Amino acid sequence: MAAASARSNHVWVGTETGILKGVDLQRKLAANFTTTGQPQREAAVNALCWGASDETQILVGCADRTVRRFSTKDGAFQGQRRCPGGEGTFRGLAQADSTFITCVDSGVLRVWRSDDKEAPSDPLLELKVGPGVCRMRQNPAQPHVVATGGKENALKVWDLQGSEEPMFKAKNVRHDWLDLRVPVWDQDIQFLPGSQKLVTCTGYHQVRVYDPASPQRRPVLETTFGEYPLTAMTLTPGGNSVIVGNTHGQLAEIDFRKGRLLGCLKGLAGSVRELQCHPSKPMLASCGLDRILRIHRIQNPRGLEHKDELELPQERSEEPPQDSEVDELWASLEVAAKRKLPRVDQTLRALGTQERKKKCPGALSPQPCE
Amino acid sequence: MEEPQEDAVPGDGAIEGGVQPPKATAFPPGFSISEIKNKQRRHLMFTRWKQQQRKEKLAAKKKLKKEREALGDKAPPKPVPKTIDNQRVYDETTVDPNDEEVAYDEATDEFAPYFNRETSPKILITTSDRPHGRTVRLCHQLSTVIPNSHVYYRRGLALKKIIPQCISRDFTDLIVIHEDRKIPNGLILSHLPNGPTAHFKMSSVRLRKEIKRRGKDPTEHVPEIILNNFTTRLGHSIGRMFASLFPHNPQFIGRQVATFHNQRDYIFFRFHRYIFKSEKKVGIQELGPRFTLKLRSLQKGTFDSKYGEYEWVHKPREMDTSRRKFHL
Repeated sequence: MAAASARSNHVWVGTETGILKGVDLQRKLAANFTTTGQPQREAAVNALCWGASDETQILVGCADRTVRRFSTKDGAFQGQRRCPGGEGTFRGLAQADSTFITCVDSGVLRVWRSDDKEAPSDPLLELKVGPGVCRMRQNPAQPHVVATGGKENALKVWDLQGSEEPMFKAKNVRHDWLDLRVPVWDQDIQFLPGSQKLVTCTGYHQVRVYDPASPQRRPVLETTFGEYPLTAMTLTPGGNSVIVGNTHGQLAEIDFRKGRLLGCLKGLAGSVRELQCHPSKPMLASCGLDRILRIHRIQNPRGLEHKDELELPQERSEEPPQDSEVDELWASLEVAAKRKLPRVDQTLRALGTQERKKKCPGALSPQPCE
Repeated sequence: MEEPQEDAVPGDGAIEGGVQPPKATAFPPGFSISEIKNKQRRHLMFTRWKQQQRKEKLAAKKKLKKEREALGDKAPPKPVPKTIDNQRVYDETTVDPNDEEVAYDEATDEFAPYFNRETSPKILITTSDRPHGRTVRLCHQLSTVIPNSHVYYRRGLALKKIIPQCISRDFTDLIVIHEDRKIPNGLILSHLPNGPTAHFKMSSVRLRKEIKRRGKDPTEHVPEIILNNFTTRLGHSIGRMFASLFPHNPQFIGRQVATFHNQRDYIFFRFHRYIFKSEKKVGIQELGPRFTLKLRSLQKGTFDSKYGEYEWVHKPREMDTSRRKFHL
């Protein structure tokens, strides 16, 4: 039974207490999965990524520097391995062929062989990226290309099969109008499909586009949004805009061709930790410190589609677009909740302009997983 | 057909017997009282209509009462009047007492050392820069209410510089009373080692001498705490924050109690001394300052309003749209 529900989960969410939650949007259910059956704060989820290419496995990077493998088919954690080296939490996790890549806070990027042995073997490759890394992202088109960026750590694009030097290292913008150096704090990076460009959002509320193909190492485009650090970013399915979220819970869609603000999304009350858009449908899942998973519809009409309370603060989310009879499937979001989700219309064509809060009494019994 | 009737009887929109608002005929539509141009006549007609309405209402009430008495025990229960509190929109984040996830979360959050009795509170109370008399007096009165608290003058120091010094001196909480135009109007409560920071709006501040019929000054005994009505997850966090200000073991000899009562998202702080006159009867005297708080934001981590991550921010245009929805 756990397997069946695990398979049909649309959004996977990881939490600060180490629980991986699978949220089924059709049936408005959330199921909990833990390694030991008990939540543990040491196993707080810091990074999530899809394991195999067919989205049957999830790699979960935890605060105790272990990477656990979770199978969505069986609904259970299958193995884990320790990934020592460097200090700090995982800032990026990615899977490439038969290896997986981890990057930690202190800037140690390692490539590990992905077998299920518990014993930590030596990493295949190790790179020093620079201290204060906030995000490492893999290029979905080229799995051996990763980008890293952080606080006072400029954006660098690395080719893991190439040399030890970064393929592209961004240059800081010119001094501002007082001739002071503009500080750097890259919080989230996304690769733009179809070209070599990258978009970053910074802790100084800027959104920047870089183009490694051009001779200019400075950002090609820069816009600002709001007054608070932008913490999460995702690309929209349309391909022309990004959605960013800041520490106040404000979500905005920004067109990166011109740098225009297209619109905002309401609803979040706390800092946004992760955003994820569906690859084809105009839906956005957001999770954050206010412990609620929200699904927004980005266009026609723009509004909140669905809300799910997950009692624990959420860290990461992923959506798996699976093909099934269900209309929409979302990749995992890191969510921790066992509540039944409020009843929302089945078809996503329903106008989601108002939050529907008809709560069904009674929580689900937790799905144990061993 | 417009009939400016103010029907006291709910659901009864039909025409009742008795004098109706004067109309030429029921159909086609006639005039209503509001169309009389002469003010004196209009007023007269309206007074007459109003008296009639009152009479009918009284008659209806009497009839209902008679019917209830006639039915005796079989009478249907009296309908409960609707208030904003009992029409409250059900909040999905209301904490279920049996919820294990929330229980685990609370057992391991930043207040766990306090609730596990590993630390005991030590509070630093200060104000915004250059406080005026009211604020200073409020600080001193608060320090008598909260045991083990120290008042320091804020010499224009930045909070981000004060906080590491407090941590090194083993303070567990920092209270900053913010002042505007000579009256205190804000409160920042920061739990120290790395705990959340809550920012409140403070209103209705009454110092001790402004409280009527108050008792003598509070003694040094550790008071008991009452936390009322903190039901949602956010409410739980705030409630625990208040609880962690006071030492664990209250001294019942002192008979003093501090109450944080949450109603409709406003938190009322009162400080009383109680005495049991008999098994069921209690007498209370209000001591100490009283004020009302409203939560503006809860930030994870110690005070950092620009770069900190917020767990909850009050957004008036999004959250205050319904009169029956509350967040605490």
